[in-house]
Amino acid sequence: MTTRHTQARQGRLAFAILVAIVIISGAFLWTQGDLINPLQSTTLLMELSSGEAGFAMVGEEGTRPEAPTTTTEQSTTESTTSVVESVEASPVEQMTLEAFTAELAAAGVDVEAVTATMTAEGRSLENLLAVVNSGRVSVADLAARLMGESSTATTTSEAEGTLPPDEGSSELLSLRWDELGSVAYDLWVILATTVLLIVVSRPVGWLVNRMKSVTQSRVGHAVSS
Amino acid sequence: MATLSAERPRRWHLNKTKLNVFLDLLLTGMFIVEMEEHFTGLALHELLGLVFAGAFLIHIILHWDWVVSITRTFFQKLLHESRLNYILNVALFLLMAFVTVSGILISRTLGLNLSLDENFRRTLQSLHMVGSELVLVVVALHVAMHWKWIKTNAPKYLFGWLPKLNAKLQQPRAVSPLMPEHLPEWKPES
Repeated sequence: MTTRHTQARQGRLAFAILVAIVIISGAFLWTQGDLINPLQSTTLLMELSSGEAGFAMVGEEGTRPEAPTTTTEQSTTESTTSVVESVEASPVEQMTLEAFTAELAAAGVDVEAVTATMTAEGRSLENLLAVVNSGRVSVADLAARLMGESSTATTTSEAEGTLPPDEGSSELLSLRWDELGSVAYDLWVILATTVLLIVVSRPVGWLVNRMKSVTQSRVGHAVSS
Repeated sequence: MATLSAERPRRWHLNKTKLNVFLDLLLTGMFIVEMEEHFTGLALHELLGLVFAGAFLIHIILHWDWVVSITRTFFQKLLHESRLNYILNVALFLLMAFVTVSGILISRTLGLNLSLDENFRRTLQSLHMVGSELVLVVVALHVAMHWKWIKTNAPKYLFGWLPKLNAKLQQPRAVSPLMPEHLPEWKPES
């Protein structure tokens, strides 16, 4: 009896500590701006391109505005992709990829070279199509711009014989401590779910036990009659 | 002391619960770090993913008896906590398998260099990211379902050394005769 009482007291204490940790760490994460709605973040992930800032894979970090540039090729492709990012949020479907590719080719753009450059960045021609479809850039303007860039990219690639380096993927221990809040957020989600489940399990457990007892009593009545 | 140890040779004994506590702690730590690719960087993210997959397999092997017993008797007691747990664990296994396989397929630093179609790769990458968000939710539920086990065993094996240390500190020490309390009491001359 005493042992059960002690265990119950320890259980309540453990739960109280857990709740305190969740509240305090939640408040701290909230002040730091790291507390986000997981549903909201998942919706954003599904709606946005992985090239959007904040949702990009690390290998695509070369497209970030603050990322340092080392080669001419990178700076030129970066300017293109920064335009892509700025208008990517609300694409309006007007032109198909096939028609877009055909128009670029007709304008004299080396589509294969552009595709190769963008693929190296983890992007595709669809990003450029979204820019055109948004109405901010015409195909002719984009073609003129790409022609300059693709020629630069081709010459650079030919000179070096390699693809542009993929930033952030070479070093094994390149921890970004400013992202530690995101790690803490994941731990917080686990702890908060635990608290929520403990709270919810009480009425659910009571309901299940009630169902069990009702079923058993019915079976008992059926057997006796 | 030497004779005592010679008389009673200590056999190495595997404490499965203790192993589970530390492995689960390692898994949780690795998982929350692995979830944030921006924190680790791509190379470490991919390497840690492989290590995590290995540790995850060991976790399943250690609980294989439970898996077999519940699989055999699943429909006997449907209204039981273990059944909900089982369904959740199957969902977690499937999600984790998908995230691991898709992660390997889209990897850039593991040296596989799979020539996937760009559109397929981007779709797989989006699914990998969305899948990992779902895994976080299911892992959170998995941890929550085992709260009682964690509450019982984690303090025992993680902080079990604290009372021992406390008892050791409170033991009366063998005092030296040169310690101040053994010196004759000094009285001022009147």
